[in-house]
Parts: sequence; structure tokens; C-alpha cells
Amino acid sequence: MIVSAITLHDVAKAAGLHYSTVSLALRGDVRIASATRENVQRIAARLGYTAHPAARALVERRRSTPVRGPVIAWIENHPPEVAQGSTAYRDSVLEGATRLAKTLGYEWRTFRIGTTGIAAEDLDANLRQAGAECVIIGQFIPGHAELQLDWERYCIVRIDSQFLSTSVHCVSSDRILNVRRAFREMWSLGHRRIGLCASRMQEDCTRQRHAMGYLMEEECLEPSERIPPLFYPYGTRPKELAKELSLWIAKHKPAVVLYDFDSRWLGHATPASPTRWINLCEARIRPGFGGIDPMAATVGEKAVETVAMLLRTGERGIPRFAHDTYIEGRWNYG
Amino acid sequence: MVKETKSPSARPLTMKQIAAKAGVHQTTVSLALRDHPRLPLETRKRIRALAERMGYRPDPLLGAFNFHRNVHHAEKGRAVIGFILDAEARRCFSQQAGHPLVVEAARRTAKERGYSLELFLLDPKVTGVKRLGQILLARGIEAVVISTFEFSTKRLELPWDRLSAVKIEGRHLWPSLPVVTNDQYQVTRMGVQKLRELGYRRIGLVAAAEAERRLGDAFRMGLTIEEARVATRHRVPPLVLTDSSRASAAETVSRWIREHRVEAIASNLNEVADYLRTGGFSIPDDIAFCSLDLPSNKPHWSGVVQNHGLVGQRAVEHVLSLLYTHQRGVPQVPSVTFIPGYWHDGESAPGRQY
Repeated sequence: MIVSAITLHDVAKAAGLHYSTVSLALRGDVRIASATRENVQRIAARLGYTAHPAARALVERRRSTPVRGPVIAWIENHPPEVAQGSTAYRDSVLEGATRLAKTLGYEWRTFRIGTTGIAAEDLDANLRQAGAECVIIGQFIPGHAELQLDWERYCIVRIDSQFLSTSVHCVSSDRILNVRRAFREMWSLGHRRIGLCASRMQEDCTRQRHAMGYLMEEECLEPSERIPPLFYPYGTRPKELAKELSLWIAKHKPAVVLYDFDSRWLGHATPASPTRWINLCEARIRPGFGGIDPMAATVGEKAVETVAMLLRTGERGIPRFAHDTYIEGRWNYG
Repeated sequence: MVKETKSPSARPLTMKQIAAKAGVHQTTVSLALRDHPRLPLETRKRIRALAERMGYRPDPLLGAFNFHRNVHHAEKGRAVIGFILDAEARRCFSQQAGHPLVVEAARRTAKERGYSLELFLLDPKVTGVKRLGQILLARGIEAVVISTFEFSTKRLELPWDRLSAVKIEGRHLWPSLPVVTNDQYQVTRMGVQKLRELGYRRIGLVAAAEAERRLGDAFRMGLTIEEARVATRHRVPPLVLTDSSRASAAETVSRWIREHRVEAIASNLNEVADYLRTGGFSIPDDIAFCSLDLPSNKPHWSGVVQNHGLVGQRAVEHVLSLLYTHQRGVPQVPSVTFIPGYWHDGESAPGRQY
């Protein structure tokens, strides 16, 4: 979006006034006669004059002390532990994001909406009060508080959260590449019967991208060699998952399971079979196990980089075509 | 967490203050903070460390304001963004080296941002890659967009540590610069979903082997995920054409349609419509056709319009973002940005009743 190129000088010319008069009139200064003010405002509206948001924000800020950087607001709609699987992923995303925000000169604020935070309808007022210019929707999950925003005010990006009907730019880890990489690494080591166990909720948040990559790899196999993925339902607890897993393992006999939940949950799962557990989104390397490091800190950095770009170019609100940026994970040999 | 500014009266630290402390000129500080290769690495490191210790922070709002000023007060002869085209890629774009819509939008975006876009054709017979690198440096070009490269080119050796660069498509091409590309996954999913909504059951995909390799099997993956819940016996296996099989493609397509009783075809290969005609199929009476890369000269077709223009625009915006944040060379972690397409209703897939 390119902001209007009409300047104060253009308005002044059209009104036949000095630009400083126009400036005062547009700010509603009482030193200017009310008839003149109204006339100038009418002309400015007709010409489509708007103060550039960056310039306006700059002036606003220079006026106030202390001098602060523009605010990036990080918003969550659930307590961290509700996000099935690993909270380590969220923590790394946050760490990368806050680090880059600081380097680039931004202030950082965290908001949680819903039952454990502020009421969703109060969010916008809170953001205004904090002077937020940018919003990062941090891994929203379905079935929790919905966003209510005056969208046009903010430069917005989301992390995952792809189930949201409001389509804004998105940053996420590249689950298609990651799951394919893990599958191929295991295959090249001679493993067969490679299965996928993934959270239905995480899949809904990421447009089924683990499933997409996995099913593509299975395309090359004979139908009899394929293992239908296990998608465990919303809100599954470790013990319930262990039960589902053992049923699925008994039925399909996978030798390797690619999975997306916190590896600490494995303590509850049946240890005997399968022989290999490969985590698809955990930075931690466990001895004897390979896995994918999703490079979560880079996901956070990319989100900040994206809102910074939007702020620079003045692109606020909901874009006509939202784009998705995916960060490639790294394979760790166990 | 970012700490609050120490005292309420604190004014921002200036580059001048840092220069005084470091005993260098202000411009040296400016170059160091931009990590500019013109300064020795040691000097850059020393001054950046000092700035960090003194609590220097850049001002994003000032950056945004400068951006705005540049846009509206661009002088003639401003900086150039290089747009590197592969002569071999002519095959992909009906004898042009780059997608005309991508190039046009890239040019417009550069201009709007106060830059000019200049095309460089990489043709081993005329200008080799080494020569191109020299030209870019000699011209003082700091930002480049790499256009679509053929799958056969695997590496591109340019002086990357001196350049801010992004690629269009080309995930196969070394180095792994940030990529901007059409979202072929989304395009295919949207096409298949729409055909389903229109009442078609046996949906077939025709893809090109070369494009699938270049784009990481995106078309087949889009189909697979959309059909995951369809019983296997109702699914149509995708037809993947190779370059060498193109001569007999019409025949291959006809055979595949009959064998699998295909009701509707989704494909980014618009020549499939010709194959159908040759095979004696009438669209949409015998079979429906949904283009996955709907061209503007076929407004009567149904299909997904790929946002080629937006790809060009975003690529330029992205490379400028790298330039402004002084990021040169190959990033440690690769990333890819997908641009979605949108549906266009037409007569080639009018929908059917059961």
C-alpha cells in the first residue's frame, strides 16, 4: 500500500493559504478561525490528504517522554500449557522474537486474552493504551478467545494460527519439508514401516502440513506398506495418548514413529515397540534419537522482521492476499 | 523482555556520541552499524560492541519515516535493484526468460519505492556468471532478485557476501537465499476443493514432472491432502507428464481419462485443454477443466489465478527489507514465502448435479 502523496503544501495551494496555517487548521488549533479550519479540513478531505502514520507516530513520540521505540504486542489466547506438546517451541519463538525486536529498537509487550488474561473485548483498548503499532498473534489455538481488533490500526502477523478466518500474513516452521526430511533420513538408514503421530489441533493450526508431507512420502510405497497416520484429538492427555498409541502400534506395527508431542510424554507410551521415536519439532537432541529442530527462534525473528517491514512500508490491517513464510528446520542426528 | 528506558528524561543516544567515544568519524559509525563490507570486519565488530555497551538502539519509526520520504522524494538515477534472469528458463514462460507479470510488478514496485529495476540475462553464451558478478559490483548494485531458474542449473556463484538477495521459486538452486513463490499447494487445494463443491467426484490432476521437481511436488501434495478422506477406489492417480512424453500427451491423457473415468481435470498445464480437444473431449460437456494457472486471455475458463504480480512485488519488498536491515549474503536458516492465488468462476467447470 502506498500512502497518499498529497502533502500539506498541496492542501495549502488549493486553499490559498500558507502551509503553516493549514497545519494548524488540520490539528484544530483555536488560533485559526473556525470557518477557515472547516474549509481547510474540507479541502484536505477532498484531496485525500492524510498524515503519514510513520511521521505522525514519530511526532507523537518525540513530544512525549520517555522516548520509547514503537511497541510490538505479542498476543496469546491460551495459557502456554494448553498448547499440546512442547511449550519449549513457544518459548524459543518468543526468545528469538524479543531479541530481534530489541536489536531493531522496538519495545515488547505481552498480552493474554481469555479466561486467564484480559477480556477479548478489552484488548484493543489495552493495545491503544500501550501505544502498540505492531501485533504478533502468537500461536492461537482453536476453541479459545477470539481476536477483536480494530485491524486497520496495526501491522499484523501471526505465528501458525492458520485456522483463523481473518487472514493476515503468517510465519511458521516448514512442516512439509521437516516431516519429509525425517522420513527420508530414516528410510536411508534402512528403516521401513515409518508412521506419523500428530496432533489434530496442531494440524488444524498449520493447514495439515505434517500430513501433507507424510502422505507425499507414502505415495511412493505400495498401498499395503502404507500406515495411516494417527491424529490424536484436541485436549488429549499423556495417558490417553499412550492408550491410543498402543492400539495404533498394535494394529499397524510401525518400526519408526515420527511424532509432534513433547518427548517427555514418551514416558507414558509403550516402550517396547516401535524401536524408534523421531520428534518433529524439538530442539533438544536426545542421545540415540534423531529429530527435527524446528529453528523456533528463527520463526520468532521472522515474525518481527515481517511486522518491521509492514511498519516501514505502512501496510496496516488485513491484506487482500496474505502470504505465508516458512522456516526450514534442521535434522539432528541422534 | 525488553527493559524500560532508564530515566524518564533519557534522549536517544546518537551516532555522534558513539563516534566521539570510539575516536572515529560519524560516518564510520554509521557504516559499522549497517555492517557495511567497506569497513574491515574488526572495526565493524569493535564499534558495534561499543554501541551496544553504550545502549545504542536504532529508531524504527525514523526508518519508516525515511522510507516514506524516499518514496515521495526519489531523485532520478537512484539505486538499482538487479533482476537476474536465466536464459534457459525461456522454456517455462513461452520464450521469455522471466514471467512477464512478475517482471512488470517487480519493476513497478521498485519504482514506487524509489529504485529502478534492471534486468540482467544470464546466458553462458553471452554473459557468464563470473562476468555478471563483476558487473554487479562495478555498478554498485547491492540488491538482487533471482528470477526462476531451470532445474538443470544447480548453483549460482555470485559475490553473495556483498549482496542482499532473494530468489523467486528456485528452492533447488544453491545458495539457499530467502524464496518468494506462488503457493502451488494452496492453488491446488483450492482448485480441488472448488471442483468438489461444484459436485465433481473423480478429480484428476495433470502435472509436469519438471515443474514438480522444481516446486517440491507441490501439485501432487495439494491433491493428496484434499483427497485424504476419499476412499482409495474413488481417487484418480495423478498423471505426471515428462518433457519427452509431450509428443504423445494427447493420447496419454485420453487413455488416462477413460481408464480412471475422470470427471474433472485440474492442471497448471493449460495445453491440457488442447489435448482434450485433440482427444475428442468437449469441455465442459464430456469433462470439466479447472486451470491451476488461469491466464488472463481465458476469462471464460474456471480456475485459480496465480498472483504472479504479487510474487514480483513481494520479492522486491523483501530484498529492500534485507537491504534496509543490512542483511547480506546467505542466511543461516532458509525460508520461503508463499503467495496465494484466488478462484475465478468460468464455463469450463460449471458444476454438475447428481
